[in-house]
Amino acid sequence: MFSLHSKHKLRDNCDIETGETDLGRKTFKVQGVAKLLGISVDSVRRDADEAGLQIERQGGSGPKTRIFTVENVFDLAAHRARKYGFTPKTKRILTVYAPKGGVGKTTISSNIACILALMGLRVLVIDLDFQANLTISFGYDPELTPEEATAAGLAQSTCVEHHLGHLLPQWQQNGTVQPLSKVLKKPFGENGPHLIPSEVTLDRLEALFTVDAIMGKKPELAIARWLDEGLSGRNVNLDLSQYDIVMFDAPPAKNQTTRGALLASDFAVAPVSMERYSTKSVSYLADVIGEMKNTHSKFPQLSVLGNFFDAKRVRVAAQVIALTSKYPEAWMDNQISTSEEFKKVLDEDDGLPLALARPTSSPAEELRAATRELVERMGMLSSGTQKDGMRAT
Amino acid sequence: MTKHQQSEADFNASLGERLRATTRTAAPMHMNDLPSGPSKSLADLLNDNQGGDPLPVRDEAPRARSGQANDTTIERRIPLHLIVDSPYQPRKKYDESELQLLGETLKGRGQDEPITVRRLDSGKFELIAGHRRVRAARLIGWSELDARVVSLSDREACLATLVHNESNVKLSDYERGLAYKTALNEGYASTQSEVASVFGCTQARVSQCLSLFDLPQPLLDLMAKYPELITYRKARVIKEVLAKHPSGEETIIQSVEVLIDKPHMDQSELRAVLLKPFEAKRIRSKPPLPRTISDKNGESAFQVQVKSRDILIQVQDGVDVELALQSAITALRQFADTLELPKKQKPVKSNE
Repeated sequence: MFSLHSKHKLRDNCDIETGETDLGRKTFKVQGVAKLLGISVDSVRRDADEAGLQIERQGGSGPKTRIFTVENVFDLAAHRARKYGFTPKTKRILTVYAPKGGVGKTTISSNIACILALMGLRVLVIDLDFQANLTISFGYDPELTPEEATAAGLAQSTCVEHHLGHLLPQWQQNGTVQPLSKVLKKPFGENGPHLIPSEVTLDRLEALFTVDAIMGKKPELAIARWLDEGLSGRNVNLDLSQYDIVMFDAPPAKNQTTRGALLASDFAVAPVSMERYSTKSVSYLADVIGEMKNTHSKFPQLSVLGNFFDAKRVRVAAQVIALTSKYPEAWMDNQISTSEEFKKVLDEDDGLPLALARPTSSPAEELRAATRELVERMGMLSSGTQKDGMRAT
Repeated sequence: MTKHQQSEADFNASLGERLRATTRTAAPMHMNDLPSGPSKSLADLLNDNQGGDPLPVRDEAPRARSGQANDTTIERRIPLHLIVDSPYQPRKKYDESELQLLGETLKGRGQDEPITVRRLDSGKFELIAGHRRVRAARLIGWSELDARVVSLSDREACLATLVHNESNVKLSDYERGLAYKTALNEGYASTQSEVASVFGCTQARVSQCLSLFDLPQPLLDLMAKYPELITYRKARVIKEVLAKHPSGEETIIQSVEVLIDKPHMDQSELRAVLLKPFEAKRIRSKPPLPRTISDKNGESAFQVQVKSRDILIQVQDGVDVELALQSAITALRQFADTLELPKKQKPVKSNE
């Protein structure tokens, strides 16, 4: 937490970031926090005091307004979850899988992860894409070497030294694997989503899985085994038992890693940009999932999320009809509209997903609605807690 | 009163119908079905896969070993120099770079699963599963390997070796065919569909791979040396050309050898190569020899040669050229009287 602040501070000094505040990263006033948590301004003040959060006050001569950091917001969400006894009915494993590139998968992943955490869920998100866009979207630089970080005065935690591979026996050649704590990143503090980052060497995992396949082992089960061990809490070095939801951000590939994540998952979300190739890609995904059912009798429930949605365009409508008539169950009621906000966020709010950076924008609204629908689809909430915990409207 | 128009609501309601019609005619798209019904839990998935835990051998071995007491199986380390190849092993070729890779893996990870061998009366151990690992281990200079020693009869060992390989790294069509053929010859299966069920593949695959063995013996000999040389698809091309030129078998076999240098040739390229010698011959055999017309005593009077549409008459010494020409023209006139050429040609000629 601290190190990330110092990183941004230094960026300010270098004039890299436009810098909204002294801290470099966006902060929130009470109203913004209320929007993020879907509660009233008064509840924010009351709960923040109750939780005993260390919240700064605006300096200067004006009114001493509370200034919430991103970490504060997540801390508050966690506090409220505890206070209202909000615990999900079941734990879930979710893969955000883009069967095709450029459909907004990473944006969807990072935002869903944040929104789930704002709902008070404990979220772990795992970047499976060696291009590491998700990792970057949370403010890390996978190509930065420790030496460069030191030279530039950035915190060592800005670098990405490990990824999922380092936690798997395949990678360590049956030697000891890295403990989770070495690999795990907490971009927004303890109560924000946690991240197993990625960097460019992650794709070597695929070659190792292929070796497994050659040797007659079942590499498609590697991720399932790993999750099973982690979620059980048996292994102190790999304790995933605290998480309510484990999310994979899977690249558009049909490789062993991606299939392993899908096989281990209870649910899969496929963002589709509304054009013909993207629609076709859902059919490929359906085939992959169907094969899983035939081979293992285990497969994720698919949800299809329309992204870059513009209902006014005829082409879009044609794709919607193609998808809804073939996959009526999978098609989600909520969609994400085309919006310039996404691009602005990428340019301006470095390291902060849109749902956090622009909580009042309409795409943020849509993302929250889609995430709520997803949580309902995953059956994580009992009807009682749904009202308390999910008033994020 | 409003205009003669649909209301907005009616119009909007009709849009869906319109789109449905246009998308269907404009762009029919194949879309795969999503599976429905319940899915196993993660725990069940792993439990179900625990039985066959680290090694695929265990999955297949029981079939081969059925009827055999399992408690005769022991695990121990065996020196590599005591391990011999299975005579039933259908694999003819080991990819050097894959063995290197496997060697690296062995070096890095150690041996994950034991190889499977059976003890021979000679005191040596015959491989059932692990031909590649043994080679890789030799490559990296190991002296022994973990092995599961099973006691199998020749017959059981044969089937176990055949079946084990089927499930493992890619065999060529020829090697597969060889395994299927052995299974048929040895009576493990009596029909192609039984072979398919023993090896866990489709009957089509069995018949494709077995079709290679219809090729002439010299080609089979060639494949024993180069098992990847002829895929069943290429075999189909070869057979097709053989059927067309039954007498040219030798030429065809020779042509097939180009595959040794150009293994990636596709079917149509191969067909072209195989057919080429026959096309060439047809052209060469065309120019007919000059014909000789002799006099009463058998002395040559004329040599007649045809070059495409010209008739060349060479008049020998001692024959009057003018007379020869006249009688040739007379003969042609007589012949022409019997002809009836298509009308169009006549006006052209008469104009000239």
